[in-house]
Amino acid sequence: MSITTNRSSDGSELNIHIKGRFDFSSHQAFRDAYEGSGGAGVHYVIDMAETTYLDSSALGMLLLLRDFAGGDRANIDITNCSSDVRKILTISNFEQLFNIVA
Amino acid sequence: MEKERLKVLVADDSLSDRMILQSLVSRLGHEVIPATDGQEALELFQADTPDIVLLDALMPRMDGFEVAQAIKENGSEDLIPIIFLTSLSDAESLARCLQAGGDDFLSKPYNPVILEAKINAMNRMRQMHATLQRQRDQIAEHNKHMLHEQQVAKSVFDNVAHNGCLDAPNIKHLLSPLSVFNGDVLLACMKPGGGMHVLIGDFTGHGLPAAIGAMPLAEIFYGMTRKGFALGDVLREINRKLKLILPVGFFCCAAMVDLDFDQESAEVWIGGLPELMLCRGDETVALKSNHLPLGILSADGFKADAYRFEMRHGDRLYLWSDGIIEAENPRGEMYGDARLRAQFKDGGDNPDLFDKLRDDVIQFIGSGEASDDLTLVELKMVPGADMVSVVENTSTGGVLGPRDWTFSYELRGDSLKSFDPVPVVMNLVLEVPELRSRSGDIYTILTEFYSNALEHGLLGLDSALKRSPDGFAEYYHLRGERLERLSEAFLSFTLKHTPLPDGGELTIDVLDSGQGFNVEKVNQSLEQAGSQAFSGRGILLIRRLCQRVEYSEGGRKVVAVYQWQRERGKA
Amino acid sequence: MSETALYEPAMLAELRTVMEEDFTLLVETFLTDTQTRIRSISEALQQGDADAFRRACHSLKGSASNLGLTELEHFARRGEEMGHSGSLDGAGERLDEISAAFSRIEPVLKAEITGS
Repeated sequence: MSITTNRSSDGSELNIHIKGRFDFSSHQAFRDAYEGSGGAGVHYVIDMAETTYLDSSALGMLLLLRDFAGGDRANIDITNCSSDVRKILTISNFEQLFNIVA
Repeated sequence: MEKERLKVLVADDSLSDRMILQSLVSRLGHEVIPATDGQEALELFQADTPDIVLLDALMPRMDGFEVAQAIKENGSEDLIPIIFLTSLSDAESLARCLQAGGDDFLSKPYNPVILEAKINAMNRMRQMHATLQRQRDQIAEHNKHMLHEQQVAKSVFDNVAHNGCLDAPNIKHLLSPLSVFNGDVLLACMKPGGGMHVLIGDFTGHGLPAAIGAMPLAEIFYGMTRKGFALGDVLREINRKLKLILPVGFFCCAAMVDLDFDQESAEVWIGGLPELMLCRGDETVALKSNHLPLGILSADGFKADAYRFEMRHGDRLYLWSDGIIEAENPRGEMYGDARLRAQFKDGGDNPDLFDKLRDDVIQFIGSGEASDDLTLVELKMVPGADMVSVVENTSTGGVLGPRDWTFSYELRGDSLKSFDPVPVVMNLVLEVPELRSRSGDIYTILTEFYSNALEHGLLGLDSALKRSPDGFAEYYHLRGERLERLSEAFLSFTLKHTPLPDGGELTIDVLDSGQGFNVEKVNQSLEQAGSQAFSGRGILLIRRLCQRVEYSEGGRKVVAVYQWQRERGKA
Repeated sequence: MSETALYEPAMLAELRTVMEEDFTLLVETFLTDTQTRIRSISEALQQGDADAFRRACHSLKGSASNLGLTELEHFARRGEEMGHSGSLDGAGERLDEISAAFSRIEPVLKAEITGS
């Protein structure tokens, strides 16, 4: 598992790329990835192109990010999900909380 | 660097060499225990427990190799480093020193600088070992403590979470805990009117954090179900409570089922759990999760709308947590969705499907480890009569409640749209201790009168609609629509309880502001249709339960008198 | 006759500092012990015990090195190496070399403790 980030020059967009399994072991790395950013008002893009698996603690971490990014006002896209990852997000009905882009 | 005074055992049979070493070690500030041969070295080692041992390899009466071996085998957990004093230079002899348990070498002639460096290095190693040892002991102690606490906590948890009716004849289940505590919860409870609520939940994480959330969940589930609250009300309250107490990022994937054995219908709410399977006759229907898990949304955003469908006697529902899908075999492959679905493809109508499913999963896992909790449950729709034997352990307090009272409760306007008054009324009725064991009867009467007054009286719905499965759905659709438009209406309950010499009498009076109905005509059609009528059965049942049932005010008012007698032999 | 130096004066001087008042005792002890060891070497030779021969040479080598007695250490090492082979061929010669080296260093050491 590895997490890389890419920030737009004006800080208004933060891209977080998650490679491999996204589970509890990624907890600290994922937090570190967004904690220095602006929170509410920032557009977050979680790139799951290389994410192979999500477990329930990863769902919890996404909720933590949502909280950090302003709760109901958060602006978070989850992009490039594989069908397996997509399925886990769908079962949990996370479309209601995140903008899931195919 | 701080100087530590060490006890150093110096064993050398050559007196002059020993004298030199003794002086060198003393000058470094350490205490020397001199030994003249191997035998004496071992004796002094046992008597004085030195911190470091300097050992000549060739000595009379036990050589250095034997002494080193004896020291390392003496069973002490402390590390006492051994430095071999030797002018042996061949590889074979040096290897022998290491094999015997030597940690380092010091060759003759002795160099004071090297001697000091080696003693310091050995001392650091000794301290590191002691620290590790201490930490290991602390961890072992903590672990023992924690296991004990978990066991105590688990017995508390079991009392709260498992005093329901999981062993009812219509439930088959598999619950396999990953640790002492489950991340999964499975709760079942009879409703006062005879139906059943079942909840399956999968908390994020395992162990204590999961169990802590499970406690209020179980309390609310049992407490509200026993008082007659509907599925949506129970879920709304659980969600509110979990949202309040769980930190962000922790939640509970859950599904809740309401089985109505008499109406042969079910309601299901699914939030975040894998789809569940309904085996109805020979068809198999998958019901997908359509809600977020419990504990994420605030009370405003929470939705309790459920699937509602017919379930005939013998039809079954299958629910599981994702532990089943993610169960791994020894080769690290997951059981997976496809295998699970295949089980249903060949035999949705197989009455032994649960056993087949369970055995298939367990056989698949083999010697592999379940990475999550395995929870699997089958719920069967059975005739209400089959459930009579299900007695729950609801202990009643010894305090006597009031027996002689009257109260009136009227709901108006918007409150009629969303609020179910039956649990509130039930709560008061159950203050009469003897009525608690008869709560099913009273709940049935109250619910029947309430739904008649609301659905036929206020909303003007025609129960004939419910005779066909399509109409069943249409009926509930219309109900929601008309409820939304309702205004300026009221519905009132007046209850009166009077003690009798060998029991008591409860009078239930329900009045609504609707159009009423032709009492004579309804009575007539009831007699014609007999007990086969889909909608009239409720009233027939109430007539059997009550001493008297009377409609008046053009069908807008109904009064029932329910008498009960104290059982013989009981106070 | 070897070209090895008889001893290292600097090392002996250092030992004098380390041992302080015990220096005399150390030297006397060494002289006594060495006489005993040379006797042991001689006995081992007479009894044809190569292992005992080697061990006694080994001890002598160590002690001599600790006092910086280069020549004595050198001949003791040759004796030890020979003992390793398991045969005592040429052992008499080794014993003679050791005895000769000792007789050369003995007066030096005695002078160290009396002359000081």
